[in-house]
Amino acid sequence: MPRDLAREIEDALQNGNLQQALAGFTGAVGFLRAQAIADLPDYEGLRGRARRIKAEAIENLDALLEQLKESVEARGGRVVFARDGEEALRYVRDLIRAHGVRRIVKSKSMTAEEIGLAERLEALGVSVLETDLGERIVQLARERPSHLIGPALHKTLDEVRGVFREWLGLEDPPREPAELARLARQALRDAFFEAEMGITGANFAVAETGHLMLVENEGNIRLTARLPKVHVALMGVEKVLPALEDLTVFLKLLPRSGTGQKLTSYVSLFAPRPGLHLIVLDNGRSRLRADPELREALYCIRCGACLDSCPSYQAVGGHVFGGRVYMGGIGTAWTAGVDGLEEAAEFHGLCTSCGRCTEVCPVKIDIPWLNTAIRSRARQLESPRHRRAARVLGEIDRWARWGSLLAPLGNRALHSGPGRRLVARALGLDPERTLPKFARPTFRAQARTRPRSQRQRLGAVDGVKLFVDCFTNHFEPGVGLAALRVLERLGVRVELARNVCCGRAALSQGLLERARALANENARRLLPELREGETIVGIEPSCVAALRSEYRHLLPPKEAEGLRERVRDVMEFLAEPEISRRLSELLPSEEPKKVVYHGHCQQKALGSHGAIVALLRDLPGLEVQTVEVACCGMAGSFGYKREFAALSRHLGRRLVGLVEAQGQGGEPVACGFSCRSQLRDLGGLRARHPVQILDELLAQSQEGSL
Amino acid sequence: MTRTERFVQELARVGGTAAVLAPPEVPAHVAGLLRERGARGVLLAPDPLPGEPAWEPALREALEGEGVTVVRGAEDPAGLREVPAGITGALAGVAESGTLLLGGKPRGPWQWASLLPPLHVALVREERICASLDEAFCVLRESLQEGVEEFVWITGPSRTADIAITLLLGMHGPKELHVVVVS
Ligand code: SF4
Ligand code: SF4
Repeated sequence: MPRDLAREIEDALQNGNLQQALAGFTGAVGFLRAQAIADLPDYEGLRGRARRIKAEAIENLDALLEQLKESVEARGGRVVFARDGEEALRYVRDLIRAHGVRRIVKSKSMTAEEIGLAERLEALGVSVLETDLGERIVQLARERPSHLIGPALHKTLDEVRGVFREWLGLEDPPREPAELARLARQALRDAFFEAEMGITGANFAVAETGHLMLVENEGNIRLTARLPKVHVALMGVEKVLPALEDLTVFLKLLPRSGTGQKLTSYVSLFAPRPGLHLIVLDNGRSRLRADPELREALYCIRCGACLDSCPSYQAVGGHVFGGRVYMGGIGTAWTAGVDGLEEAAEFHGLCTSCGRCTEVCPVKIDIPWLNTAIRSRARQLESPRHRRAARVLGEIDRWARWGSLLAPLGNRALHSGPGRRLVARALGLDPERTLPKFARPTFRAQARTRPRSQRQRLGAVDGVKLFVDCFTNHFEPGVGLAALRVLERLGVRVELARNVCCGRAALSQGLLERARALANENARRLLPELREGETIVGIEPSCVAALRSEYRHLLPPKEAEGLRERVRDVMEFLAEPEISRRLSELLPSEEPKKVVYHGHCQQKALGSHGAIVALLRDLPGLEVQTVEVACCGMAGSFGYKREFAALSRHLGRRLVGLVEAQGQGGEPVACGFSCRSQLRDLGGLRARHPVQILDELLAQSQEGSL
Repeated sequence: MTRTERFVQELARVGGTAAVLAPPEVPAHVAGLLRERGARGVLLAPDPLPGEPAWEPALREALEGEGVTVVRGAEDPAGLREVPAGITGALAGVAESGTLLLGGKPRGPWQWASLLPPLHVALVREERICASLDEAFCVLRESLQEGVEEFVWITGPSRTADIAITLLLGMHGPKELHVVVVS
């Protein structure tokens, strides 16, 4: 049965315990991770190496797996390759029979989860005891893990006590977490000594020596792998690495990314031994490997950092933003590989492409791109009505042109009660939302017909081609005009770029072919015209991000790189040393204007956020507060969709709340059209683009000097 | 800050304790630790100070002098279920993270002594404390060539945060990790 995602989102948002747990966990780990990483020399270099090692290992997979088998078997262990869960299960079943196993201890493994190993073995009549405390709690509560690292983070103390009541037959389980842990230790310790077989996963396997590396804090993995005579280790084919030394890179990155620890309490390098049965599972991984778009999902080392930093995950958790086993943005690709596209199609929509996850992924997986690719395939499964809606939303540039032409009329039709409801129903939109209003004339038209006197030429230095995005052009020409004036006052020669839509809207609807066509058209129009030293400056951060990030997947490498090098966010451009110096000279310094700044998620993902904040802080004439929130929750059309309305409001209200609480009465400013819409629609706050503020200040100071 | 100082500091951060001692002081110190905790038995893994075979009898004698029963690990760990303390050597220490590198044969006494009891005492020679993980990894490679088969990096006591995101020590492994740096 298809899932009712809107309902699930609503429920999760209203579950106070879950909300508290998610905020506590993701917040704490996020903080510790940032610290642990700041501490690491050459973090970026390490990430690059980690990615390269994984990429090469996946490339040479077959040879490495053969070598691993030889290494393990030379030292008395056994290696079996299992095509799917069925084959893996059959092998374990035979082992159980051969060794007369009745009791099994097991340590948390997503791969075991993936093939339902524990339940299927229990169905054979053997007892399978999970020994990771969090996983055990989830198992007893008959739930699924909600996080890669903290499977039971969604359970409160009282819920855990309830679980203990049933498990240990206690009437009134202790209220002290430490006491509960002590009881669990006792109960499980007996099981370790009694079990005839231990089942673990593996974080990495070394082809050269046959070692298995497992990372943990509790010690249950060591006990599981070593106390029982028979050790079954189940790992996906993607876990193999060539040499022992490759582990150092991951030893530095995995704990830091996962829990913010420099190292976890225990990192074992188990040697192969008689009694080891290493099951190497495919189960859809070869399919991912053969798929050029999804292949990099196999680089994942399951640290969970992408979950903790993801606004959607933070809001609803892994049960909602996830499939049968794998969760979050990386979980869509894994679900597609392991369980098929249909299962992944249920929840890819929760990814807004904000890019916060790619900032923290230790192997730099382009998670938003994986979701875009899946979205485009999932379109094939949808009803014609849905597909039609996607086409309308994804072709914003086309209908916006008509919208602007017919502006007063069209706006009235779209914003009147019946008109709005009709459109909302047809496109699956949230009827409560006000759609943006078309402006007439467009930015392009207004820029062309500006009176001469405004086109100053102060000894033109750097040339700029201003990229005209659809949001600015059709909805907020004022922002574009402000950008033009500011740049020109600084003596920059500005021309409007002859670009078409960047393709962002098409991408967020999964209309890949259309996005590719637009990208090619832009490359064809922009690249040949670019003069030496000229920069393409964009206003809308999500469009800048499309040009700089997504185009890598849409264009041949040379074109993509050509654009990537030359495209800047307008605020990023203003932050360049020479420009910002000129700007500082021109701005008035008395009576600074108070503003509260919300940075765009994609500026953070692209790494321009820091420079922009520094610029705003350093400029005379401004007093800046910033609010730290992962994402505004609108993300283009995401917030307009009925399915995600509740989530979008939840995220947007948090932004509004912070702006009001921490803004100290400053005027809200935000670079993103979506961010400003959220502030306006949910908080009644009139927010402007920072370039509009600069424009205003420059105008004032010029008046003053006349 | 010296390597040893950094090591001790980082170890404290992750909940471990340490003492830096000259060789003659070590047996009495370890015996004292056990006495304070009322530990009447200890699992002493062979070769507690790699490269110093004379050490083991001295340590054993001191402990037995205190009335502590010293067991040496057997193949079958079943008898080790209730042992209150374990002593092992360490191949190396890592100053930047307060980490120890232990190693030996799979299912060897070193594994049990550092895992089963609530108290784990590890001895490490001061010159084996490396500045970084990369340096210690070279020790690992050398040890492998000398026949050490399996390894574990230990950074502080066993821990969990699975109950209501509260940090608790001694989940499945030792609750206390005490490192004696032998200078
Ligand atoms: S792009 Fe944003 S919404 Fe999508 S998975 Fe990454 S962090 Fe989450
Ligand atoms: S995708 Fe990256 S950040 Fe997410 S779990 Fe995998 S390795 Fe970690």
